[in-house]
Amino acid sequence: MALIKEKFKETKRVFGEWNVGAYRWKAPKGYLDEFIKALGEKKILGTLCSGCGRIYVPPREFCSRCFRKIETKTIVSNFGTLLAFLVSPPLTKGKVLIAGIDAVESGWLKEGEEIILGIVNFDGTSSKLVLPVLNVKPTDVFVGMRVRAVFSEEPKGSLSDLIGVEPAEQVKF
Amino acid sequence: MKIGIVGFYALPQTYDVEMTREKSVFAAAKGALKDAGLEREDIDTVVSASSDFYDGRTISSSMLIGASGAYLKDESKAEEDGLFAVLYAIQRLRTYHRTALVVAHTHSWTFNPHKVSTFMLDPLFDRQNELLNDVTLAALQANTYMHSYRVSEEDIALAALKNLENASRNPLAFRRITGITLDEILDSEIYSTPIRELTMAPCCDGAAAVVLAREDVIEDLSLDAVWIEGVGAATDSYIRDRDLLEMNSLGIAAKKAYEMSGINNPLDEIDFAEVNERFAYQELMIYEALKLCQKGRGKYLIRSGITERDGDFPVNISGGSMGGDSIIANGLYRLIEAAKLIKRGFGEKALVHSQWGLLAQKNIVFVLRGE
Amino acid sequence: MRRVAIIGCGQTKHGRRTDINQAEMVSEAVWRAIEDAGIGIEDVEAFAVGNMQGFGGIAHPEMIFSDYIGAFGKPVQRVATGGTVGGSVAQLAYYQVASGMFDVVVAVAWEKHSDSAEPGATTGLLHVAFANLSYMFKKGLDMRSFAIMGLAGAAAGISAYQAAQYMAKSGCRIDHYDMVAAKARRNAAKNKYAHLKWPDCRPEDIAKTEMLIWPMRFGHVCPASDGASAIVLASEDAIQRLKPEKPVAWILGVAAYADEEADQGESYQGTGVLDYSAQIGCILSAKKAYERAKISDPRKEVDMAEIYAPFPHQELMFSEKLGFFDEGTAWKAVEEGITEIDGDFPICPSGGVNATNAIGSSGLQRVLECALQIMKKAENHQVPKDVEVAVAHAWGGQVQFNTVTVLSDKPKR
Repeated sequence: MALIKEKFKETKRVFGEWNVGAYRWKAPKGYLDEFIKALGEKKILGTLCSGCGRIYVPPREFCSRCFRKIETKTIVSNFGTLLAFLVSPPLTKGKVLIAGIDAVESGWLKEGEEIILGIVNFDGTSSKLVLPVLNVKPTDVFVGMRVRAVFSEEPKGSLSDLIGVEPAEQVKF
Repeated sequence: MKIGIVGFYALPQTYDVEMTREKSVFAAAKGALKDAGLEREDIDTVVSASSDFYDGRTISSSMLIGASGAYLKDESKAEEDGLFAVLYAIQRLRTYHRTALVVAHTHSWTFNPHKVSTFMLDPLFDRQNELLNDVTLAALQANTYMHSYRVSEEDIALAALKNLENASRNPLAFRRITGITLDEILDSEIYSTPIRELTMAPCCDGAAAVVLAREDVIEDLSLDAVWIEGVGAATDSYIRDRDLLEMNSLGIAAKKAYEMSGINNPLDEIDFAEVNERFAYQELMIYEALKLCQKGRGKYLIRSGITERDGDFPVNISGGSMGGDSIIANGLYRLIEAAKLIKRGFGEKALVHSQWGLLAQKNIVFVLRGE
Repeated sequence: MRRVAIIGCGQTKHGRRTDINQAEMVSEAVWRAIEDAGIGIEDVEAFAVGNMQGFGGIAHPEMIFSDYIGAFGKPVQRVATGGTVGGSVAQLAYYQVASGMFDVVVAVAWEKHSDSAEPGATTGLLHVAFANLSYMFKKGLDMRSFAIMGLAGAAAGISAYQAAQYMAKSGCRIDHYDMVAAKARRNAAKNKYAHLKWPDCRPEDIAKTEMLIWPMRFGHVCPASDGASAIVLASEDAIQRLKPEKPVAWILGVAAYADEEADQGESYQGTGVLDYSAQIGCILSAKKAYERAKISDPRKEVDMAEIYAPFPHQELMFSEKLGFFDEGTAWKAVEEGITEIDGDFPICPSGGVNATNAIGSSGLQRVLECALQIMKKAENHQVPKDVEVAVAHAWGGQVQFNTVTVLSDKPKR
């Protein structure tokens, strides 16, 4: 098919910028908000499905497997296992841009720090959380490490009241 | 291989910012399964319908897998009116799968649906002038239609009156105005001449689900079914490139559906219809495209009273979109209303229609038959 | 149930295409596919289309260019399932024909990332989780925590976590990821439609690139390309009628199982997925697709695969889930060169998604590339061995959707 393009070698560019606008979303009451309240008391909250016994963290309203609403909330263990981990290189300015803002320059992240992100499964739950692994050198972290949740001393009623996890006692020879 | 609708459930249309979409979708899916007397394990495939732009989430179906019953099932989605998801489900049923669940939803409070229409416009020209959206485009088409065929505002208002009266009796409808009068409609606020508040559909929340099955499963399990006799779908050209005087693609889609179901004279052989008329004038154009009357004669059909709820060929006994437009779920509401009426013995054959896109660019038509 | 084959393929050159708009790009691919099939537009009865509309900023774009692709008066069905949208489109087209509803259909999927203001597909990808992020901010997520979450970048995100978890389970090393990425760039150099070409790319070249967050390097990350790909599918009878002289690629079986979200549910609720790399959906899809295709031993009966791997660890992970290697051993095959273009089991001879990622198009490209290999039309990146059975795979959503398509040079086994 002979497209018109073959006749016109140069294409014209038309610019336009449209701000899509604001969306509204609704989150269920009694789930993440309860989770955050529990963090203030140095506890981790999950929901327990009475059909299959799965415990979801953070709390979930519907169990996909059983296709039913979950009614029970339960406190779960503060201890868990490190399933896997990631390590950032020593942070510098100009590398980590969040929504156009340099995270190191604005002080959110410290220059030179190496952040270890752990994929943590708290004992007895069927979910995992991605949390910073604290108080340990990157070279000492290993898969299967036992960890314990670290909470903020001055809870602000926010998600960051769960600061991360740190190595718990390793039971081995 | 015939396909039948064996269960359905639709939530009452509403505008509720406290309702999460997970809850709505879960309620619809659970309700439809219960109506069919089946469990989630009996469903082979799930086709959901939702739109990223309306939900404000990329891959809007990804976080609804659990709620729509699609966990660890062969599933997919249609990103347009729910009736297209039904079409896809039928195609799946005619190959590997024996039962299917179709779920559709939109919560209109998430984002102004009329704003999305501006993003359906071509960004090189039409979007640049900031004059066009679905309402002003509807005004353009309504004016063209009214001038070419000498259709008056009152002719159009009569269609709106019929549907609003019907909607006031429908517990699932969103806009229910008891004792609505023609004057009220003709006095309602102008959005873009001649489109008024009461001659256009109000956007609302809706979630609906249907369960479909193949005839061998229906026989084995002795299920009650409303049969899908024929389906037709077609797409028109973009708004700028077509004749706005008729709904071309609806004519093509209806023709295909009629052929498949062996219908030669729709007005005689079909008992009633549920159509999606986002603007009241569209109902007249829909009559013409469905070959219920000649081109430009829609006004006579509406004035004759044939399409009233007690007429010979009732259209939109549920109130149609004048009673509520839940965008993606709209088509499924039309389908469910028609199926309900057939099961009640109101008629034997029904026509179900829905549209998608600016000025009904895409149209899809189903012909249903009771047992 | 009817037998369906791909009779024609067409793609545009992928890359940063600021010389055409979405409509022209899509029609380029569609017309090339129709010409390749040796039919006329009047033979096409329906369309299956898909892309991720958030990236290009047009809602339901196929409405704007319905005439450009010859869709007037014909049904057009649209799908949008994230990364796997191309795979879903191909499967929708398969169902359209196999169900008996249509004889000849065109499936087209595309993406135009360069139309969005932010590079690297950021906006669209962020929007997968934007509703969750807004809620988390409202609940007091501080900027430090947010910045830490963003270390892996919007594009890599969950995939970086998945790479770490796969490594933890399988015992592979980051060098293996470098090997796979290098292979992708080398193969892409032979593919005239690919984006990132690097003819002599070696794993050491990839290892020299910047470390984003171990184990994800900059050299592992796929580009954000513009591009469209299209295929024409036809039923057995239509093929007899239209008599295209060229060989065709038969679709033997399709499956698409969905798992729960891999990372988080609506409004940051938890999910029951303990392992990003478990991919139960993929295993189920593969088993079902093989069952439908009557394949009992994938390792013996399948000749090659096109796996959707925007990040190299996914090629390893999915090749195991699809049954080609034992759990945790795919990295050995890479070391031995088995998955090279001239190896025993070539994977992604086209360069794969790691070298070319136009999100909408890349899923369909996997099916298209398998078809090209079967029809021996892959030109410079044609694998030397005879391809009788090929498997195309794509993932999408929160790494939870998986579409598996089995193709062959014969209509049945």
